[in-house]
Formats: sequence, C-alpha cells, structure tokens
Amino acid sequence: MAKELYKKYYRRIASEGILKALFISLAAGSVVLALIELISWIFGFKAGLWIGFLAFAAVIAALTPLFYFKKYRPTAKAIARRVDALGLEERMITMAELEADESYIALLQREDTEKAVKSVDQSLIKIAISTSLIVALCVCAVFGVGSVTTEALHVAGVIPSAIKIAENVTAKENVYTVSYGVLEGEGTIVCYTEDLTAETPFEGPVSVKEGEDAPAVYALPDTDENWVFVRWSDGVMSPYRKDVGVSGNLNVNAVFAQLDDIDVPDPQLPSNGEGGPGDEGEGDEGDQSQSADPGENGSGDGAGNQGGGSRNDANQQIYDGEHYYGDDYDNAVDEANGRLDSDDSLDDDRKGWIDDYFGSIEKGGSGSGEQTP
Amino acid sequence: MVTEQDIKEFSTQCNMIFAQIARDIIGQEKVVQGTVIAMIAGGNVLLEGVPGVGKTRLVRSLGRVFDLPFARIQFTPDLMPADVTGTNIIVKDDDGNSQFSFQPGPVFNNIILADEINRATPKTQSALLEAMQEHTVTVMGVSRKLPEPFFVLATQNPIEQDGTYPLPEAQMDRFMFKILVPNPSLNELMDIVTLTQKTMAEVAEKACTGEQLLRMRETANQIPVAQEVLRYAMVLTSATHPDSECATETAKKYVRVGASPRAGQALISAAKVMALIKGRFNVAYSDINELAYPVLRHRIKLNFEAVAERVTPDEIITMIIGEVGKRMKSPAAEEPSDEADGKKKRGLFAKK
Repeated sequence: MAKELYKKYYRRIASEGILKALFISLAAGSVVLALIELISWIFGFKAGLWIGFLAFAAVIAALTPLFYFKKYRPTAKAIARRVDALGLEERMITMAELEADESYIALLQREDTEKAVKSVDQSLIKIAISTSLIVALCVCAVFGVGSVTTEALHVAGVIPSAIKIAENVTAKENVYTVSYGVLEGEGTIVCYTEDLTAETPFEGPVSVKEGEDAPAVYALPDTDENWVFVRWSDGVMSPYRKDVGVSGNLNVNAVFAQLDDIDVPDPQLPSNGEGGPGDEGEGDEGDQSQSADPGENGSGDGAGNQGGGSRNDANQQIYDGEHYYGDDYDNAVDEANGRLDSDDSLDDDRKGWIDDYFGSIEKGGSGSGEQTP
Repeated sequence: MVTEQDIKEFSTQCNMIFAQIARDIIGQEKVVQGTVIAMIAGGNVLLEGVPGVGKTRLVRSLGRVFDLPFARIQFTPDLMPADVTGTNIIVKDDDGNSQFSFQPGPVFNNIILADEINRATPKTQSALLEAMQEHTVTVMGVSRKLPEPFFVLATQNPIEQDGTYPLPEAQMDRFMFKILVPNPSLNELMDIVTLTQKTMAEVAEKACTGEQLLRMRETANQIPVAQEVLRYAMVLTSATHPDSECATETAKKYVRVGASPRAGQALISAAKVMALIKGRFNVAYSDINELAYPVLRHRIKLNFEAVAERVTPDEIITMIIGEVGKRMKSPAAEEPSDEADGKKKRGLFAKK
C-alpha cells in the first residue's frame, strides 16, 4: 500500500531528479566544451571545434544518468519528505520507517497517513530547482557559447589564434630610444618640420616604436660665434635629418666647427709669406676645420707655406682635397641672394639669419687676410 | 501492546478531562493542555504566573478530575523538610513500649500542590528532589515508595522576589514543563467574574482514575517517532549548550548552561502525548517546536550578556529553533513553502 502511495508522486519527483541531473551535466559539459574550444583557439588547433562538441555530448551522456541514479533518483524517504512538506506533519516519513512493523499502532499510523494523503494532490508538488543551480548553468553556458564563438571565428579565419595575437602584440611593443646631441662645437639641435615652418628645441631622448620615424631635427650652429655644422657623428653630412623606420636605439651627435679655425687661402693672390694662411705647412694637412690654428695663421712669418694660397695647391682644397672652398662659397652666396630676392615665404628673421651666416663665413675668410672666398 | 480499545479510551478520556477542567477554569486552554500533557507523560509542572490567575485552582481541579489523593503544601521560609516528607515519631505500643513510627508527610499523595515553592529554603525545596525523580522518600535510612501516579505541580510568582529562594538547577530540571500562566483576556475575565459571582465552588467531576491515567501514558509511549524527528529533537536539545557539537550561535552568545538530557526525554515523551491528543499517530516537527518552549525555558541558564540585553529564554529558544532548522535543512523551522497548502500553524506554547 505504501508503494502505491509513493507511485502517485514518483513520476513528478523523478522528473525533477532527471531535470536536475541534466542541468548539472549541461553545466559540466559546457565547462568541458569551453575549455577545449579555448585551448584550441589559443594554440590554433582548428579541429578542436568539433572535438569540443563531441566532448560536450559525451559528458552529458555520461553524467546525466550518473547524477540521476547516484544522487537524484527519488527514494521512498525522499518522496515521503516531499509529501510531508505539503502539511502531512511527518506522517509519510514515519510510515516509511514503520513499513515492516505489523503492530496495531503502526497499522493505525498507516491508515491515518493514507487518509491524510488523499487530501494532497500530486500537482501540489512543484518541480523545484535551486536558483544556484540555474545560475551556475547560465554562467557555464555563457562561457561555453563564448568559447565556441571564438573558436568558430578562428576556424573561419576571421580572427587569428591567441598565440598569433600575442605575438603581434608583443612585437609592437619594442620601443627604442632616439637621441640627438652636440659632440663638438657650439650649436643646438632643433626639431623642424619638413617645410621648415616650425622649430622647437630637441629635449632629451625620445622613445620611438619599432618601425616608426624619429622626429625631424636640424643641427643649428651658433652663428654668432662663427660656428658651422660639419657633420653628424654617424657620417651624415646634411644638418637636417629624419631617421625613418627606427629599428634600434639611436644616439647621434652633431659636429660643429668654428670658421675662424679654418684657413681659407685665396687662390688668386700670390703667396708672399706674410699674412698668408698656414704656418710652415703644418696648417695645410688637408683637414678643413679641425687642425688649423687661426692664431698661428694670422701671425705667420712667411717662413713656410710657400705654396699656400694657390688654387691648385692640394693643401688649399679645404673641402675634401678636390674642391675649392671659394667656388662653393660664391655659388652658395649667389643662390642665397637669388632666393632671398625671390622667395616671399622667408620672413625677415630668416633672411637675417642667412645673411649672418654668409657674413660669418665671409668674415672668417677675410680673417686670413687677402683670401676672399 | 496498544489496542484499539486503548486508543479509543485515550481519546475519550482526554476529551472528558478537558471538558471537566473547563467547568472550573475559564480560558487558559494552553496552560490546561500543557499541564494535562505533562501529567499523562508522567512529568512535574512548574506554573509561573502573577497572583490571581488561577494556578492553584487549576491544580485543585486536576486533583478532582483525576480522582487522585491531593495535598497542598504552602511553602514558607520556615517550612522544614520533615514537614514535606514526614518523620519518625515515638509511639507506645499496646505493651507500653516506645518505638519509632513513621508519620508520612503530605508528599505521600498522588498530586502535590507545592504552592509558592520558591518561598521555602533550598533545604526544604530539596526535600522534593528524590520524590520528583525517583518517586520515593527516604527518611532515617528507610526508603518508601510514593503512590503512582505521582505528580508535583508547583506554582511560583515571577515578580515578587523578596524573601524568595530561586529554585536550584537540580530541582528545576526535575520539572518537565515550566508553563507561564498569562493574565486572562477581557472576555475570559468577564466570564470568570460572572461565574464566581454565582459560586466559588469548584464543580469539576472525576473524569479519569489513576489507573486509567497510567494506561494513557503507556498508550502514548507507543506512538512512533521517525528517526529524523527524533534526531531533530535531540539536536535542538543539544543546541542549547554553548559548548556542544551542535551548539548554535545563539547559545554561544546568550547561554551559560544548556538543557540536560532530561529535556530530550521530556520533549519526546510530551510530543507523543501531544500527537495523540491531536489525533495523530506519529510525532511531527511541529510538536517538537511547540513543546520546546515549556521544556527548555527553565533549563536554559542565561549568561550576563543575555541578561544585559534583556533577552528572554523564549526568544533564545525561537532563535535556536530557527538556526537548527536551517542547519538540518528540515522543514521544521522553515517558512512554509509555496507547495504547502496550510498556513504556518501557531503552537499551543508558542511565544506570544
């Protein structure tokens, strides 16, 4: 009789048990699926998408019956407890314990229970699934769907694998230091735009990502003291420079020279040994800027430098031993004058600087007495 | 073995008992039911209430309803143990020889009314210890058995504390129930005045003999208790101890000493009687919860914090029931679920 009473409620409580077991299995399967898809995406394993689905199905198929039979399958006591909770005041659970008892009181208790159970409809037992289980399932499902979507996009070629993304991110993170300074002489390094419209002092080293360009700089000599730009320490001869596609740390310095130091003989004038540049040939070693001594030049006693001032004298080819400085100077002055006259974009300050510059060169040349550049 | 006849008699006699007592006592149903449950279960009862609420009248009515010899002892500070238990006196026999003869005290009755028990000294109070537990009295080395059934129904006044001696723990523990007797409601008060204007006489008649009462006790003892319910009752008892493995946070915070194993015995014995009175043949969680108040309230000794915060034993019991119910995940202390069709029932002894 007791079993018949339980049967009335068994199907409903068993359904609840199956549902609970299924929910737990779905949650566990989602976690497994998510892990497989995630690992596949990380390592770029495209077959992982289908392996994940297979594992998902396998986990559900294995865990659902396992959980149901081991944990959620309704026992007589479990059914009794649920029915008692409907207001039967522990009649069912007591009856379950007295099942084998044939005493009169046990009989009375059974009859009393059966009478009470009649008032309880099986539909009153609602399928109850805890909120925590539903929340856990939702979280796992979201995790699983997200991982599947990611892996599917990877398989479709929309997104790269996690490792490749990481490599790209890591590669772009190489940053180099670029620094410009002054090695010798007086002058400053300024940042220029390419059209020479803006100028700011270059302050300290700058960080440049790999492959990007360094700021454009200009080595500006101190013209008031007759300094001129000679070269950069890495051999670049143009005062303006812009290092593009930086691939390593860069530290270059400008070299300036003072024009008073340079002995520029006039090839048109004969050398008289007095006031001529050079000091017994020691100042004519071919280095146009570094080795000449203006003091000595000015006080030359004419004892030496017999060949000084000759246009064809190799010692007077102050550029590189092949070109005469005076020719280049004349050409440069002509070009500058022409531009000063024609270029309206140059303001007065700039024109003044250019004048000063050529003037300083000229003065330097005149310092040597008869030499006219 | 319980027979159909026993069950029927139990039901009939219970109805008769309550009906007869209702002739003398207006209202106080919970007090009456609690006292009757304790008597059927074989326990002693301590009735606590302000003067004039009918404590003594109830006990006298019970004496008549059960048709048992009844004795009243008015406890006073000068009452001596021998006044309770009896003593040996020297008597002369027919030959003129003197010899000791035991003169039984009032305790040698079936129902003892210990009126204002807390007014006697602890020495005299303790004279009842043996009688209440073992149902024997030992005087001058000779133990004498008391008549069965034997009950001590004591009363005490909770507000007048001058010249009183609080009952020792050992004696408190021997009372199965401590029942609080409340003031009657307005309607009850009107009925009481109306009744007593006519006559003060007690009119309750005999409804049950001592033998029948003993058979009722045997019948009730046969009521089955599911293991889960039994475990719940024992956990509830144990949870009142701050140091036990089942200790609740409430007990740790407010209780100095918890209930003894006697409380567990009393809880189950009384729950069986209550289930049978309600026409049920098994003990329910609701029975345990309802009876936890009269069984535990005098067995829980509060600590300083509880006294300082003015937390009552009944409030502590309510909290402990809640904690134990949640811990055991039993429906005992949970709110009724939406599945349950019935509303949460309020127990007979539930805290007001």
